Amino acid sequence: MSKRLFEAGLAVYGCAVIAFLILPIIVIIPMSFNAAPVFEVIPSQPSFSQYQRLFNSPEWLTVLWRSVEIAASAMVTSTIIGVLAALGTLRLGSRARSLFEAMLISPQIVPSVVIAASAYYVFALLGLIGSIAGIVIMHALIALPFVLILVQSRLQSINPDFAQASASLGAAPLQTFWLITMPQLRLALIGAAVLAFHVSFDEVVLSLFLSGARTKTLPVKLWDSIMFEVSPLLPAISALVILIPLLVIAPAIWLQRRSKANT
Amino acid sequence: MTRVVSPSTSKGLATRTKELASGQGRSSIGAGAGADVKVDRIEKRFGSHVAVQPTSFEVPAGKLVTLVGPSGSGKTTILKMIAGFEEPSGGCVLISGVDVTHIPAHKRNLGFVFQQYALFPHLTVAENVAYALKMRRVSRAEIRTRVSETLNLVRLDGLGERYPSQLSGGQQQRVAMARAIVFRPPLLLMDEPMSALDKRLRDEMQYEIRNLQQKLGITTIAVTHDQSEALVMSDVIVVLDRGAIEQSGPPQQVYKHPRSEFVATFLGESNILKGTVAFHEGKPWLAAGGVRRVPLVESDGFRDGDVVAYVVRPESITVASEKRDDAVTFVGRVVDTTFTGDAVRLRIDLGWSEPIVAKVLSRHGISLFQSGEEVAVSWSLADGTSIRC
Ligand SMILES: Nc1ncnc2c1ncn2[C@@H]1O[C@H](COP(=O)(O)OP(=O)(O)O)[C@@H](O)[C@H]1O
Ligand SMILES: [Mg+2]
Repeated sequence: MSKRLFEAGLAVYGCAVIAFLILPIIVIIPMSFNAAPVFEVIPSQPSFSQYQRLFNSPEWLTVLWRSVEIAASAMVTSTIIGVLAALGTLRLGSRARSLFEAMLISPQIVPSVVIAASAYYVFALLGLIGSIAGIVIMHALIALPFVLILVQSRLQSINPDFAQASASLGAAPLQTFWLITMPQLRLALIGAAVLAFHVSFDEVVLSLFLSGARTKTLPVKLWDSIMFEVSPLLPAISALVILIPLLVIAPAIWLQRRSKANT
Repeated sequence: MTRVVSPSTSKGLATRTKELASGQGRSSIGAGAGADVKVDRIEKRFGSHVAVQPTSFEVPAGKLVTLVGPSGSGKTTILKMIAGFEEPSGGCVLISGVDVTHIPAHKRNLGFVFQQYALFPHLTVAENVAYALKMRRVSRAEIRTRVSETLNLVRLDGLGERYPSQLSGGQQQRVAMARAIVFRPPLLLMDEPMSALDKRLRDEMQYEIRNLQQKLGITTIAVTHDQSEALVMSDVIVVLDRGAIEQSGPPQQVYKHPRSEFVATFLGESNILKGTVAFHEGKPWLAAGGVRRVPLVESDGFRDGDVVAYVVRPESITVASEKRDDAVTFVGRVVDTTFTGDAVRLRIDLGWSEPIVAKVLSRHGISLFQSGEEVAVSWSLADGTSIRC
């Protein structure tokens, strides 16, 4: 009996913690459907007006689109480099391998303020401050560890017999990679790409340092708005920042479900 | 098609490959396509660990050779060096007289059946089997007929659209075979092809693989740690231990005349009687405990005092109530009897060695002898083999 009580208490406690962590994120969504110029969890004048204003504001739309572009570019860059790095490191001897892995994973270990400060210094020399390319490069860099770890662990779990079987049947190494390795890597790749997109899309610190007046990303612009003007648009923008990565993740989850159902 | 084997190093093989792959010359899967293989002082070291000591053996065209040995004896490593998956530390491999040692695996044109089959999980059975033909740019129509022909050959008709995960172990094994022979390679390599099957299926597949191999005339090198599988399937067996060949030859010969205690005990069950050679009236005898026991074959060239292990198989031993004159005969006492289904195993104490094991056919499952009973144990001189230690 007391064990049951204890378990029930634990469940309530767990739910409370989760609610405490998640509620602030969720309340943003009802807040955004409010025509009143104040922040209210339960809207006093329910409407889509903030979204209408947002989508009629070229200023916000430009920033939103820029963020999507940057995130997509960073996603492609870090995925390609991450796959190549994963393939490469697996071929190294154990000592060289741990050295390279540590190096490639460091962008997620070193605090982003430190990375931002040093990137600022180097990019200033190269004239990359305020450029889209600079932001893409740094976002790809901090997304790389995720891609590397995901792809590498999948690669390691693929039976090495497959590659040998493919070779014995006459496939050159590159053919084996495309026909045998890639299809088995697909889900890990999609996961890695989605994660990379997400890392870039909501990254603030590096973008804050590296973006110029004309290359603000959505989170940076959001930051600016919070600092200088408390606009009733903010909940709507925040809701979008939450929703867009979800839109990217959904197809990935669907694909994963489908392929599981297949096998 | 020259990409299969570079023409400068191996014109013969390349031309043959082309013919075989494109289906010219032979319209249906036929016999006589086997290559002869020569493995010459091949060796493999992993760091300081010697996995395979310099090893040589030959496989005549169309024959099935089995490498047999305990786990870790280097069987897989040898097979992978022949296939080109492992670089040998020394020595070379010749296929149809062509040195392939430095040709990459994908240009060797060999079939390989993996221990765990390694069927591509994202491809259907038909796509798995078609894979090698696609690599050889065979036309789509021909791929279709060849795949169905081969699936038919391994009795998997109608399962082409399934995925490997939807098949039983035995069916997966057949797909692995089909995939490895569909392009009619002159050499087929199989790494413990039946170790994942249960005993009944394994016995069935042994005969099937053997039949298929003979029908296609494909030279085959198989690996197994199962001695009975090796004895059943092979033209020649090569017994390996700790990375070196212990003995090789036709199964009957190696079984009957093991040249070492290792071979005697690894291949089937053996009684090993230890002693020294003692001459009596000019003829060699095995003596144990200072007493002459077993007459030895003179032509073996023994010298007085040689230490010898005398081997006789349990099934060569006759157990009777009375002595026979024409054979080596001892009187002993039955220690215990074990019913094994088709036979009864008797352990008999001769008084001067470990109890000797005899296997006698059982009728109605009843042993003719009881423990404690006194019996006459005999075997013909020709059934004994002596190994000098
Ligand atoms: N990649 C490897 N690295 C180090 N040692 C290996 C490797 N592959 C095999 N070995 C060693 O070589 C020996 C022979 O292995 P293997 O050929 O797999 O034996 P078998 O197939 O007869 O069981 C074993 O001692 C094994 O541990
Ligand atoms: Mg093995």
